[in-house]
Amino acid sequence: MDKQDNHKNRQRRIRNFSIIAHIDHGKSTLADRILEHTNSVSLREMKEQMLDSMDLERERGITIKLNSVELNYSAEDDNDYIFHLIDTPGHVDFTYEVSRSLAACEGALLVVDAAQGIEAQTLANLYLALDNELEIIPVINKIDLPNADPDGVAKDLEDMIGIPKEDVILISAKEGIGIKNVLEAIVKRIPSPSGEADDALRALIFDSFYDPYRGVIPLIRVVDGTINNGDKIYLMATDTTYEVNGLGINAPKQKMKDTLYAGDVGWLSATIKDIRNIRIGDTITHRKRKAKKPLPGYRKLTPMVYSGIFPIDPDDYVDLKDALEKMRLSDASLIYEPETSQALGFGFRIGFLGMLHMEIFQERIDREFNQNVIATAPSVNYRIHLKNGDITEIDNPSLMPDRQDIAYIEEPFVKAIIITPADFVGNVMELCQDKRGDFKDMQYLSDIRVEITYDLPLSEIIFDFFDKLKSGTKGYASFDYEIIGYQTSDLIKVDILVNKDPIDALAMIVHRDFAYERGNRICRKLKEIIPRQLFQIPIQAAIGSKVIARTNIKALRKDVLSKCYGGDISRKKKLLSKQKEGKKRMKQVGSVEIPQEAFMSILSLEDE
Amino acid sequence: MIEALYIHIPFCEHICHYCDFPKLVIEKDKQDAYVEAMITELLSYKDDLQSLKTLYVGGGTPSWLKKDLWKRLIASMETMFDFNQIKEFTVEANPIHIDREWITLWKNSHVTRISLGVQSTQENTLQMLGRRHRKEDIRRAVDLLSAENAFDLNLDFIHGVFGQTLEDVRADLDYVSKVKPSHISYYGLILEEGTILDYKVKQGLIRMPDEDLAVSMIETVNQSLRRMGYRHYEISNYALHGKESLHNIAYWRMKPYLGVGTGASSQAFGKRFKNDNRLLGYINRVKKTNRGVAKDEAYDAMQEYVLMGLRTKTGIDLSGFSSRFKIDVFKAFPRLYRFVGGPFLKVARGRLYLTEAGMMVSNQIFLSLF
Repeated sequence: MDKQDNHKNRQRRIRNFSIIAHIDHGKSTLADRILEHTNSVSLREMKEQMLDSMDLERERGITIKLNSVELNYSAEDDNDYIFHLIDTPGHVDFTYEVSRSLAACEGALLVVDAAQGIEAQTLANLYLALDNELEIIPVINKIDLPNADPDGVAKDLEDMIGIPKEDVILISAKEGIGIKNVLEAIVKRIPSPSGEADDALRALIFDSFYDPYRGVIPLIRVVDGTINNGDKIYLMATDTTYEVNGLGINAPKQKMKDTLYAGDVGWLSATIKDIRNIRIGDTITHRKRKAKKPLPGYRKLTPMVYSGIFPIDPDDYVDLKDALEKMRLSDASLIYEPETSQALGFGFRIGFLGMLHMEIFQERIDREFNQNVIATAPSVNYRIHLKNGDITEIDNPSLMPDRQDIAYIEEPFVKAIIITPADFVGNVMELCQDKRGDFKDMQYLSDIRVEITYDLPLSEIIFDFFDKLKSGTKGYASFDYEIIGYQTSDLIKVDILVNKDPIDALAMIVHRDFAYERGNRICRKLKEIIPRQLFQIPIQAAIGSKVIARTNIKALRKDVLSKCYGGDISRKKKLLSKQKEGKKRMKQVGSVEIPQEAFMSILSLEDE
Repeated sequence: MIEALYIHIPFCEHICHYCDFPKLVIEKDKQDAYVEAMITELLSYKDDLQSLKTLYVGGGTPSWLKKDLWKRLIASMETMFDFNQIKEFTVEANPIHIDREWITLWKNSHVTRISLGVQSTQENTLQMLGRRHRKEDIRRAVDLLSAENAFDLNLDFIHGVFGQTLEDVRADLDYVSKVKPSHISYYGLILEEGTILDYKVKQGLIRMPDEDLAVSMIETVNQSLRRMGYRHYEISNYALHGKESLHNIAYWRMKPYLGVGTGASSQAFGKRFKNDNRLLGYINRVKKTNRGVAKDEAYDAMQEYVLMGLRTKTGIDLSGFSSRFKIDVFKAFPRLYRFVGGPFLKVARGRLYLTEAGMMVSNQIFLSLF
């Protein structure tokens, strides 16, 4: 009885919360301050164990991997509270993961930059938090900045979201001002977790990571019931069972526990080898006492963007395969399968959650795994409706069926929310129109800030939309999007022929209206990128057998060292050797040497 | 068995805009120490010089050397080996310096060839190159030398200079046809790092001629010289019958050679090595070690044999390669084979050679050796 009371008391003093914010509004700094104030780590340890754990993340200044820490806070009411700070990624690619980590919380600190104000991701994540019925504590950060306007932002919050101005907590995470107020607010305003320790176990998997010794480690929030070390658990979405051989929390260092109760956040190990069995959002229950219903909100992750990855040297295929398997262990959302290209040989088609995911993948495969690869331009998934009634889906433009067999094509569309200063509304609208956008709504959030909603084809925003948006709005605009389904578009396949050979890896699917222009630009771009060779190289863009654009790369006529006597030969050898090195990143495609960059370059077409 | 010796005289009166050889514009009285050092270095090689066949004094400007120092140099060499067995002794000279005194000196020094750095007879081209001589200087020098009739004459020319037109090149070729020296070296201008010309190009002050013009110039030169009876025996070298430069042929045929003086290179004793580039550095090294060698360089005999051999009109002897290196050349360099039978590389009568078109893009073919 006492033990149960203890648990109940303890449960009442748990606070599970997350920090949601737009990029650079100060989430990490605030998290650091909270760690400091709860004396969970010494300042030095803290530096070493920041919430961002991978090198890549620190470089880009964004959080990719989720972690969660358990902190102890002695409040002003003389009670000790157990804080679970659950970190969330803040970029568009990973909304689902954000929503699942929010589902593990009861409250959220909504951090807004006092100078920048409410931005698209502020809203996006806020809506997610509200969807999960979280208690929101509004925090206005960076009040130390000269152009800070906390009153203005507080008013915006009230007008837009209905959060009373009085509830707002003003802080400067950098200067350490107001942190105590935040901690007290967490205690006072965020409810303790509900959930009965006696009920059937339901634990939410809201993230996972890979440990080379222990296998896949899911991060869990125990919603109902109790989990003990040694338990035989059942994963509801994948219908798999495991035996728990380790249980613990991050404090921030890993600390072993025998039991996790309803309300707790921690991790478990069960020597899980296959990451595909650990699905974010899945429910863990007991094998012998299964919960009746899984926790709501589980969604199977689907990639949005696909790219072909090929080794430059065909002999490296096996190494690439191994590298991908290793990468997948720490990245559950990496989906891939083997693919063959006439031009590039044997490789893989990889599905990414978005462009950021793909960029990170490319950096990792190069830096961490040392693979010299060619990546084809990313493609979305197209739904092709054939005349004979069949429906086929392709994520690789070269697989498009013959034009005469196609009835119509559908492509994925997104709803994009863009927040921009009023001055740039024209630029934003022009950009969206250029990208085949369908105007949906425009609202003035304040006198000078506007929220614009457009439906856009995913294929038009996957590459440089964000960059163009930033440059068209002097960096002020922000943008978030979600998939809204497939729509029919007048799309055709454009083939690119180099030296009269169609290169399947360069094929594109474009809207008919854009075909000529795109075809032209690609021909010109390839002419810049493909180095001259000893023969003339025609570059053509074609729809079916009809050539719609063409250019020629002139044959190289002169490449000679006119003087080479005794003293010149060493230098000459060095020069030639360097020239040879430069060719390493080229792929021999038929009779032409094509640099790695050519395949991606077809996306980065500068506006003339 | 070293048959070729190169001697470097780094002194110049002025710096030409295109030159990246080790060179110094210093007063003549600093030259003594240098010549002494060279003599020391030569002495250290004395035993290896007993089979010497060709001698080449280059620079810098050998004609800028004090005449008495020249005498001293020759005299000391005369004690080291027998000049009678030397088949070819070439000296480079600036047209402005050619006078009776030098001619007499050279005659008495067993010199057989004079190489004049003409570069061009056209004023604009000479100015762009930073050369101080003018057409009159060239004429005077050539006339003096021809009158003597004591030496084979080589004239150096350059094409592909900024501002140079095809007409300019034709004018230079016209002059050649009038003079008919026994040997012509005709170079395409190379932009070397650290030269004045390179700086100007980088600053956007001048632009090198476009490829089509450069190619036209090469084709014009090849055609004209051929019609005049010159044999195009190496990428940039043309000779009347029997007047090829024996010394340079040693380089292209991978024969061992020694280089003496600042920055001089050698290929001997189974390796490549290079002397110190700096005047004081060289002199100090010689003081310490009797030689000016600063470092070894990469030496890949097989690769260099092909790299250098293909620069010549007759290319390389396939069975010569196999017997020297114990492997078939196409086995050693499989990617070389791709070019055979195309317009650039041919096999005939047991020899592998570049066509004139192939010479123009030879770097592309040479890449297959790496």
